Amino acid sequence: MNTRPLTSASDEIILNLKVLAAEKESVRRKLAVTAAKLAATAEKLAVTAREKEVVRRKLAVTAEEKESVRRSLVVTAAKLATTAEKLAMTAKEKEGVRRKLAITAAKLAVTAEKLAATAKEKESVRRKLAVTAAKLAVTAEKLAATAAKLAATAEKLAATAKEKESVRRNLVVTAAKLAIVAEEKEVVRRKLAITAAKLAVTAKEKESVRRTLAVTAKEKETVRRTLAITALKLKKSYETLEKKVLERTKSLEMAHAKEEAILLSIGDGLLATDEKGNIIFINKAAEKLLGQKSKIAVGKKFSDVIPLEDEKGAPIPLAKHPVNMVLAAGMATAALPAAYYKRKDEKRFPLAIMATPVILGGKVIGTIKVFRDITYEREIDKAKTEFVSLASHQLRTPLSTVNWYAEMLLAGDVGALNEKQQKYLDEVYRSNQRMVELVNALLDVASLELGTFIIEPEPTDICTLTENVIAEETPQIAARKLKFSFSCKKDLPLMQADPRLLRMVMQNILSNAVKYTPEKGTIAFTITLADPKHILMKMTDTGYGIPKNQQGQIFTKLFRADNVRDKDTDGTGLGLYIVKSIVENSGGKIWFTSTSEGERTGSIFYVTLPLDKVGVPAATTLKPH
Amino acid sequence: MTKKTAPKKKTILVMEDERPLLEAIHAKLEKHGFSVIATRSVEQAFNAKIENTDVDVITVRSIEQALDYLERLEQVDAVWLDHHLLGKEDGLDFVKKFKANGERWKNIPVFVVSNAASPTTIQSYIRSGVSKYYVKSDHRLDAIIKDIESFLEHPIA
Repeated sequence: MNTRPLTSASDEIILNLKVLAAEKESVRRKLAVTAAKLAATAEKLAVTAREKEVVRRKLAVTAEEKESVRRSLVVTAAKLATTAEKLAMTAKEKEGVRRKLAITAAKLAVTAEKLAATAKEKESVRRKLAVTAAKLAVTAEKLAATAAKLAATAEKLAATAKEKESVRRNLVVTAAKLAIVAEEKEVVRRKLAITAAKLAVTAKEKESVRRTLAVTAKEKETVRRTLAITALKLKKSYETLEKKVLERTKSLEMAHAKEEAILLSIGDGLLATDEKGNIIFINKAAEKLLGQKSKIAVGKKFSDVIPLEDEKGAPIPLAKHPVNMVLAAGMATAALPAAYYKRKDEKRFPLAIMATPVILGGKVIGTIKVFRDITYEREIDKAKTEFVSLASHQLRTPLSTVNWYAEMLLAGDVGALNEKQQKYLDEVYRSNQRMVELVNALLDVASLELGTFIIEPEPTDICTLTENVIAEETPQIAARKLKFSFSCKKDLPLMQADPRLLRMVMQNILSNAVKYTPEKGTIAFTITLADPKHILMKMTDTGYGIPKNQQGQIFTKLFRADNVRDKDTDGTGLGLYIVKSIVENSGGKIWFTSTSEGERTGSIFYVTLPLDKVGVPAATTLKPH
Repeated sequence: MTKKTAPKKKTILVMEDERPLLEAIHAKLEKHGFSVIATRSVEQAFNAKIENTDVDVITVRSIEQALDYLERLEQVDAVWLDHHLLGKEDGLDFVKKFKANGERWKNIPVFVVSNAASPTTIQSYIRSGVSKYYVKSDHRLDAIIKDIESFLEHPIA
C-alpha cells in the first residue's frame, strides 16, 4: 500500500504531527482574521449608528427650534389679536387694519401648524433611525460574543506555554534563595564586627571610671582633714560660749528678778494669762484689789477666779470677758467699760480693765490685763452730770419767770402800757431772751466738754430734720424779708446720727445766716453728697461777712466779729464753736469763704459729715479751745 | 378770741413747784378761759379739791385717800406738769401713777413744761405716754397755751 520506503515509522509520525500543527496554526490564523474582520464591521456599524444619532439629534434640535418659533408666533399672534381688539375698540378706520392683522394672524397660525406637522414627520424619521441603530447594536453584541469565544481558545493555548515558564521560574527562585543565604552570612559577620568594636569601647569607659575614683579618694582625704580642724575650732568656741552663757545667765537672773519686782510693785492691778486664759502671773496690787492670793490664783482660769458682772449685777458672759475678746476675737486691745467685781468681803466696785495680747513671733501666747478700781472716777462723772442738769434747771427757772411775766405785761394782761413802758419792757424781754440763748449754749458747751452729752445715734433723715429746723426759723426769715431757698438731694441715705447733735449743727449754721444777713438779702441752703460716705451742706448768704483779719478767730469760744457787734445783732459767740466741736468730733469738716468789704458781701459755710457716725466718737474726747 | 370759741370751760390740772411760775401759768390759763386746779406736789395733785383754785397745800393722809381723790380727776381735761415738784416725788412719778390707772385717764393728755431738759428725762416722759414736752425757758407762755388749746380741739394730731 505505501510505495515510499519506510525510512522510519517515527519519522512519519513526526511528519504527520508537524502537518497537523501547521494546519491548526492555519485554522487559528484564519479564525483570528475573521474575528478581526467582524470586529471592524461592528465598529463601522457603531460609527454609522452614531452618525445617525447625530443626524437625529440635529433634527430634534431643528424641530425644537421650529417649535420655539411656532410658540413665539403663537404668542405674537395672541399679542396681535390683543392689539387688534384694542384697535377695534378705538375707531372704525382701524377696523381694516385689525382685520388684516387678524388674517395675518390666521396665516401665521396656519404656518405654525405646518411647522408643527413637519416637526412630527421629522420625529417619525428620528424614531425609525433609532430602531435601526438598536438592531445594529444587537448584531454588534453577537459579534462580540463570537470574538470572546475565540479569545478563550487562544488563552488555553497560552496556558501550556505558561507551565513551561513556571518551571523556569522555580529554577530562578532556587538560585535567588541560595543568594539570600549568602547575604545572611554576611550580616552575621558584620554584627560580630560591631560587637567587637563595642567591647573595645567598654574597656575604655572602665579605665575612665577607675581614674575618677582615684580623684574622689583624694578629695575625701582633704575633707577629712578640714573636718578635723573645724572640730578643734568648735571645741574651743564651745568652751568660750559656755563661759559667756554662765555670765549672761547670772546677769539675766538679776534682770528677771528686777523685772518681776517692778511688775509686782506696779500700782495698778496686773495679771497675765497664757494663750488658754490660765493665769500665769498676778501682781501685788491685783492680789489686794481682787482679794486673791497669787499662789491660789495662778494656774486657774481668769474667768473662774475673777467673775465679772455688769452694772446691774448680772454676770458678764465669758465671750465678753476681755481675755476672751483678746484671745478669740484677736482684738489688739479690749477695754470693758462697765465691769464690776464683787470681792470676797462683799465689796463691789467698778473695774476699768484693759486687756492686751502678748505676741511673740506673730503668735498670741497670752494676755496681759491692767485694771484698777474706778469708783472715784465714777463718782466724778456722776457729779459732772448732776452739775450740768442742776445748773440747767437752776439757771433756767428765774429766766423763765422773767420771760413769762414780761410777756404778760407786754401782752397787756394787767392793763395797757404806755409807749416808754412798752419800750423798756421790750428791752428787758429781749435781753432775757438773749440770756436764755446764752445759758442754753453754755450748757451745751459744758455738756460737750464735760462729756455728759448723751449720744444716741439713730437712723436720721437729714432732709426732714433740716426742714423742721427751717420751719422754726421761718418767722425770723419772714421778719427780715429774706429770699430763702433750700434744696436737699433726693434719695439721700439715712444718716446714723444723734438727731440732737445734728440739729444743733443745722440750727446754728442756719440761724447765723439769718441773723447776719440784712433785710431782703438772699440765703441758699443745699444738702448734697460730698462723696458716697459724706453729706455736704452749703449755706450761702449775702450777709455782712466776716472781716478778713478776724476770720481766724471765728470758731473761738465766745468770739464775735466786730462788724456784727457793731450792727447790734444778737448772738452768743458759741454757735460756731459748738458746730465745729460736733462736726470735727464726728469726723466731718467745716470751712467757709467770706467777704465783708465792697459791694457784694456775704459768706459761704461748708460742712461735711459722715453718713455713718455723727456723734459716735466719745464726747469725752472734746477738748475746750 | 379763745373765750368766745370755748363752749364750756375746760379744766386743767397744773403741777408746778415754783410759786411765781405757778401764779403766772394760773393767771394766763384763766385768761384763756380754762378752769385751773393748781398744785405744787404729786400728793397735792391726787388730793386736789376740784372746785378749789387756790394753791394751799393739802396734806395726804393715806394712800387710799390719795386714790380716792384720783377718782375725781376724771373731770380734768388736761394736765400741765413740771418735772421738779415739791416733796419726794417728781413729774415722772406722777405720770407713772396716772397712767397706771389704765383706761380711766388714758385719754387725758399730759403736757410736760419743764426746764429739766436732759434728753434722758425727755425720753422717759415721751416713753411713758405724755403728749408733749416743752422746755420752759424756750417757749412763750401764750405759745404753750395755744398749742394745748389746739391739741384739745384736735386730739392726736
